[in-house]
This record gives sequence, C-alpha cells and structure tokens, in this order.
Amino acid sequence: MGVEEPYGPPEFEDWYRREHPRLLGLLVAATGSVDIAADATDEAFARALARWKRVSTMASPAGWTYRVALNLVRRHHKHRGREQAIPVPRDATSFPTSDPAVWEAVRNLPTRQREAVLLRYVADFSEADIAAVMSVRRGTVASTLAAARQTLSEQLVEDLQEEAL
Amino acid sequence: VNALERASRDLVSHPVRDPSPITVIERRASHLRRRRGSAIAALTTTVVLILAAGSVALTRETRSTHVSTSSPGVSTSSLPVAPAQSSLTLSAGNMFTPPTQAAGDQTLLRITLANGDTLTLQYPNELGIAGLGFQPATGIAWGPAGQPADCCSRTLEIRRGTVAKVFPGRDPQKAYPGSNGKDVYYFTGKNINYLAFQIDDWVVAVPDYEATTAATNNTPMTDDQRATYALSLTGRQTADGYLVLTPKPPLTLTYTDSPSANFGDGDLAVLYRACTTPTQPLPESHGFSLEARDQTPGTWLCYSRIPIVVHVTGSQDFQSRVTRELQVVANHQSAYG
Repeated sequence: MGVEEPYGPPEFEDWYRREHPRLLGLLVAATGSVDIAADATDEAFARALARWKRVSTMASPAGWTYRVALNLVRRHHKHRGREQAIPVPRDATSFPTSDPAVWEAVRNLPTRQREAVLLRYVADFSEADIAAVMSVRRGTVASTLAAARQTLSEQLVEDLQEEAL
Repeated sequence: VNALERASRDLVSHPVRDPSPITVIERRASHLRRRRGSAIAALTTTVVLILAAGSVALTRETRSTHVSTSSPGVSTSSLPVAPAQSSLTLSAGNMFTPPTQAAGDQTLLRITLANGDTLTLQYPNELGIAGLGFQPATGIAWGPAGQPADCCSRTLEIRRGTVAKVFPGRDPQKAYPGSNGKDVYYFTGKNINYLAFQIDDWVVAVPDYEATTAATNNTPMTDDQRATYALSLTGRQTADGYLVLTPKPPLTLTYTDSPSANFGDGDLAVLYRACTTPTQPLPESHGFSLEARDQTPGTWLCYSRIPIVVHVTGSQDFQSRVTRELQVVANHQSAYG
C-alpha cells in the first residue's frame, strides 16, 4: 500500500544541477530567448520531478526531459506563429557564444534538422538517444544530421565569403 | 562541425543563467501534481486503461440486470461530473500502489474497480504500471425507473486519504448521518458543493452543483436528497486495499463514459465501453487494436475479446511498450443494480 513520496529525492537534485546547463543552452540556441528557454527548462524539470519515480527508471531520464522541453518550445512557437522565424539574439550578455554566426545558421535550419543538431552537439546525445527523443528511426537521425551539416557548411562558407568581400 | 562543436562547448561551459533554486522546481512540480489531481477529479482528459463493457445498458430498465459482454456496442452513460473550474477542488490525496504478483519477468496486477469488477493485467516488470498509483471512479444513478433522469445521478470522485486531507483547510457546512455510523460531510464552494464519505482509507466525493448544458440539466440536491445519499452510499475496503461501493436503493452503480480506473497522471486509464471508431489491428499486441481518437492525445487501444478500451499517454516509449506488451489475462464483471 503506497504512500505519496516526498518531493525532491536527493538524486534528483544532483541530476538536475548536472543536466540544467546543457538543456538550458540547447533551448537558448533553439529559441533565441533566454527567458523562454529558462521557463521551458524549469517546466521540463518540474515535470520530471513530478513523475520522478517513473522518469528515474527510464533508460534516459534526460532524453525524456529534453523531449518535454522541446515540445514546450514547439508549442510556444506555434502559438505565436513563429516556427519559421526564431530570432537568435546577438547580444553577448543574453546569448554568450564565441561564434554567433554558427547559431544564426542553426536557427535557419528546418525544425527537425535544428533539433537534431542541438541534441547532437549541445546535449551531446548519441544518434540512438536522439532517435528516442525525436521519435524517429536511428537512420533518420543520421540522414537528418548529414543534411544539416551540409546546409550549415554551405551557409557558413557563404558567410565567410561575404565577410571577405 | 568544428565550429559547431566549439560553439556548443562555449554554450554549455558558460551557462547563460544559473539553475533555478531547487525549491522553485519543487514548487512547480507540486503545482503540476495538484493540477493533475484536479484533472483526474474532473475526469476529463487523462491516460487511462479503459475497459469497455459495451453491452451495459444504462437505462433504468436494464440497470438491475447482469453485465453481458456478448453484444458490445451499447454505449455507457454521460453522468454529470464536477466542473473543471471550481472554487472547491479536491486535493490529489495519497497515491495507492496496489499489490502485485511476480511471474518471472512479468507482473500480474489484479485490480478491483469501485463496482466490484476485477481485471487482471500482465506486463513486463519494468513497465511499472502498479507503481504509477491507482485511482478508481464510477457513476451513481438515482431512483427507480420513471424518475427524472438527472436528479441526483453523478460521476463520483474518489481519493485515497482522509476527508481532512482531500478537503484541506475546509470546514464542512453540515454533517449527515451515514450508514456506517460515521458522519457524511457537506462542503460548499462558490460553484460546487460536495458530499464527502470516509470509507476506510478512501474518500468518496459526490459533486453537487447546478449546471444547465446541452448534455445535462443538473440542479443541486435538496437537503432530503443529500440525507438519503448519506444513508444509501456505502462501501468497504478489500483486503488488498481497493474500494468497493455497495449502494442501497435508491442509488445504484453504473458505468460512465469516464475512466473506471486511472493509473498515474493519466498515464493509463481503463474505460468500459465499446470502440467507437474503426480500428486497425495490431499484429504484435496481445489482443488490442488501435482506435482513432484524433482530438485526444495518446494511444487508444480496443481490446478485442471483451469490450475494453485502454487509453495510454506518457512517453512514446511507454505507449509503444504498453501497446505491444500489455495483456488482459482475466476479467470478471459483477452485476450492477
């Protein structure tokens, strides 16, 4: 006969502190907004905590949480009709990065490619983990990433050429 | 790729913002649990295993007959449920983790519904369905045939815990004598009132409110009707912790079109009804077919051997595994009326 468990098991807090920077960074890159990203990050971790008993037994608690967070962001953008035009702030204080042009190019990728790239490079997920988060086959992840890398490469070379001119 | 890897390292090693304090996350999680509890209370969209006893006729003429599963297709009833937006909402109560039986790498879970029906589920241990927590629900119909249909028929809200915990910070407006010697409390709110029964470790809340919609023409009960409810709605707790209701006339139990059993935060729900839309066979599953429910998220599964519908939400992996691996190995439906 079960009794409701108290919130905040110790292992959750450790896991939360470890995963937070990665998920927040990913969502900042995905949304271009620190505020939207921080809110979606908190909400995703809160949902994980609310279901921690189950989430903690999953093969990848982080994968589940990332999927929740990406769904929240998608929903947010759909509500605002901004799916195709996500701004990436250039202000270094709100989006510190050594190379804003990279994120500009990532921002211009189609949604699936953008998410695959962020999960691969920011979250450091394997292709198998990305497949689980995006609910696609592993082969689809590989081809999506290949297409994204090709597009990014062309885009960044174009930028360099424009700068050279 | 190098530029992307470098930029990603920068992004993670120089976080744009410190993590929110853990208390903030806990507060949000707590709010989510409360909201989840309210949603379950309203018996709206959740993930439930739905057992559809399609042949249960809900007319008063057939309420006294035994449930038959031989002719699925007869629908269940839409009894009034508590409005989702209310000034008086119930807390989620305690989670009830039902006992299970191990069978190698499989778990056998025999659940008893509030009407006494039993259902045995079998699933791989790691699915952990019992650990999600179980919450029953049922409908109560009022009066013999010929009475106005919606006088006092209700979809009950059932919680594990005590009345004080389920109605935190509330003082009852009145107490009615109950059949088990315990008082039945009447809580009032701005839009909704509740009769609250304590039956062993369970709280049964009967919503009472005024609502005039296309589906219902519901008026609050009179004082006499509430007193009758208090004396007529009885029940007991089984040895393994389930609640079984055994109302006396003029009250009778009935299936509703809401889930009869809920696991977790809408992760899995069971309804007694027949499939309402064309199904697609699932060759890998244990007797389930898919039911199309475009407006509702999650996976809807129709069980082919008895009229049961199972609604599964949660992660895609959880939905897929339930679809492939859940089995219904026994079912016993008790009589209504």
